[in-house]
Amino acid sequence: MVGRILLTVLVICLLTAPLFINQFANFVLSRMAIYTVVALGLNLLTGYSGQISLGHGAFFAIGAYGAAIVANRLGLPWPLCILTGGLAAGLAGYLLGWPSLRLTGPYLAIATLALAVAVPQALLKFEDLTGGVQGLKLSQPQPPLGLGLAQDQWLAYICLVTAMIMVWLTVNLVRSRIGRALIALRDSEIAAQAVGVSLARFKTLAFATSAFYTGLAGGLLAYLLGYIAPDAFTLVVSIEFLTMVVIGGLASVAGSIIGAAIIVVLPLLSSNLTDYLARLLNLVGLSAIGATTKGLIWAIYGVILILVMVFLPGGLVSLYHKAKNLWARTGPVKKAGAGDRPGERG
Amino acid sequence: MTEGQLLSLAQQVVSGLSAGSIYALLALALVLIYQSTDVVNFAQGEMAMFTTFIAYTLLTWYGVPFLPAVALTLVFAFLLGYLVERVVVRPVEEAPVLSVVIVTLGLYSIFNSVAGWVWGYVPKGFPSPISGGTVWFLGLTVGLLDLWILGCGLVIMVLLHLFLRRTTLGTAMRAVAHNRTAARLVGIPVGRMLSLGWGFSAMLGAIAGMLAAPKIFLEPNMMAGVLLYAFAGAVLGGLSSPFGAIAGGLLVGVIENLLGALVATELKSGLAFFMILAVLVVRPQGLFGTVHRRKV
Repeated sequence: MVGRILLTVLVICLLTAPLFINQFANFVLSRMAIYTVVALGLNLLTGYSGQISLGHGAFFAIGAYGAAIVANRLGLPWPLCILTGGLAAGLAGYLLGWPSLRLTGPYLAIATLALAVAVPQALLKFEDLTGGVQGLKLSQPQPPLGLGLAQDQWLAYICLVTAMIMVWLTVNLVRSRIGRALIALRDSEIAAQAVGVSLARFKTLAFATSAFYTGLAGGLLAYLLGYIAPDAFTLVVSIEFLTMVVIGGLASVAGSIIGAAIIVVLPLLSSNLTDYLARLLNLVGLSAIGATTKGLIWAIYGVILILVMVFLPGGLVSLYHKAKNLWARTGPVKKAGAGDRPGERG
Repeated sequence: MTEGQLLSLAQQVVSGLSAGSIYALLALALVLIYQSTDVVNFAQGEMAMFTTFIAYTLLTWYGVPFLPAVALTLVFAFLLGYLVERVVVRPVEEAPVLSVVIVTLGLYSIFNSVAGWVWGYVPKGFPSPISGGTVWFLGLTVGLLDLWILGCGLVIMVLLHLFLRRTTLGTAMRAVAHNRTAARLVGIPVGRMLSLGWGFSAMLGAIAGMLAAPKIFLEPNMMAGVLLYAFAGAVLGGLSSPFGAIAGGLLVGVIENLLGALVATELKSGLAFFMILAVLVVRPQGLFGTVHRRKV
């Protein structure tokens, strides 16, 4: 019950926030929503069904370009374009899902890594369709008349509502027959197959669904920025995605949201952080000629990834569970225990 | 096919072998680690790049002569690999594959970004004892640099083979890769062997980096493409076979060059992806790998 109330309050806060915050904050909020959708998708694949993907940057790109191309060529309304981007990525995911049936662990990671590298290069190659290095422009959705919303507010609403729908879908999906099948396959393929779970069907389904989420997010990003280019979809994007899922917590919806929020906010904080780090290094006599401390954000990601994997494999969400367990063991004794069995008292 | 076409084809094969020997060295480094620890080191290429930058710094900033600089770099690479295994990889040794993959990706980020911060992203030339110039050989024009890369690569591979087969240490390392429990039972310090394996792999990577740098220029992202082809080579040859890694790496180099010459240069980039996918689907154990049967 308390959870319900908190959730409602959170949703209301989020839905009213775009009205009161400035343009930049709306942009950050939109990006958090977009990254949440990606994190949910990647978590379905990596967290719930146990398949590693280093190639989600590729699906992200396919979604973004799919949406932009449909918008520019066919002039469809934006919801349809975003959906098309998602479906295009989903199809790509489904196709990749088939060969992936034979791959496990490191092999799957290698294959998807190759995809992540190949797609940005393919974007450069098929210039007629993708605009090559120049990228593609697309016109951002106009806020409906009469609501009195500014452009950035309207975009934030689009992203937020989509993310909320996807969260709701995911929560239901992982509790459904499909979710249970995926988890069963992750924990033991043989046992799951023995009780009649189709390996091929559910693994390809997981890939397709995960790619669909990511493509949808790509489409949202294309509209949020109004401009996309191949250099926004390099391998580091795929690593960024994996980082957020791992930091937040694998196989957890809440973890996906937390991870997405952190990965969006971290670079904003880190420009100060890396400056500070550079000054510290200068103090001990290690002055660098590269002089761009901006790139050091990736070193920080790397350190965080390793630290989380070594000390907190369950991600930040597991902290909550740990705290809860600790509370249950050492906290004040609950009064409810007596109330459950009134006979004992009497 | 006319004689001219045949010659230009042979030309492509030779330069393919030169590129291939770099892939082969890095693939060998990957396989050495994979064999003994079941870890695919995604940071292998970045570690190679980082150590190559160390060599560059010694050579150009401190004016160390070539051979001592190479020797110092190899020592550094060995220590780096040894420490990485001991400090970062060991704690997740028993963890699921995903954790290990993520840890090596973390290393990838760290090395890439620190190198960019220290040395910048402007491509740099890397000195080589053999520079430009060509020799004529059976009607082929062969770049001296290509020949030098190929020669060095082959020498290193032979040395590694001898080390693994003929020395006690090499035998102990192979024993650990083959059966860890049995190795421990006969008194081999397994942990130290694993660290040594990472150290040697990092050295192989450093050699690959230093050989590649005069050709592809030194910059933090130089190894991204090379690593991908090394993966393709390792997968093609079989991740569990050092010989396969060499053969696979060389083959990938040749295929890459032939495809670039015959079809289109732009297609080369996607090649690694399709090659990896095709091999994994058709013959997942690779050309020379062995199939591990798992008990369930």
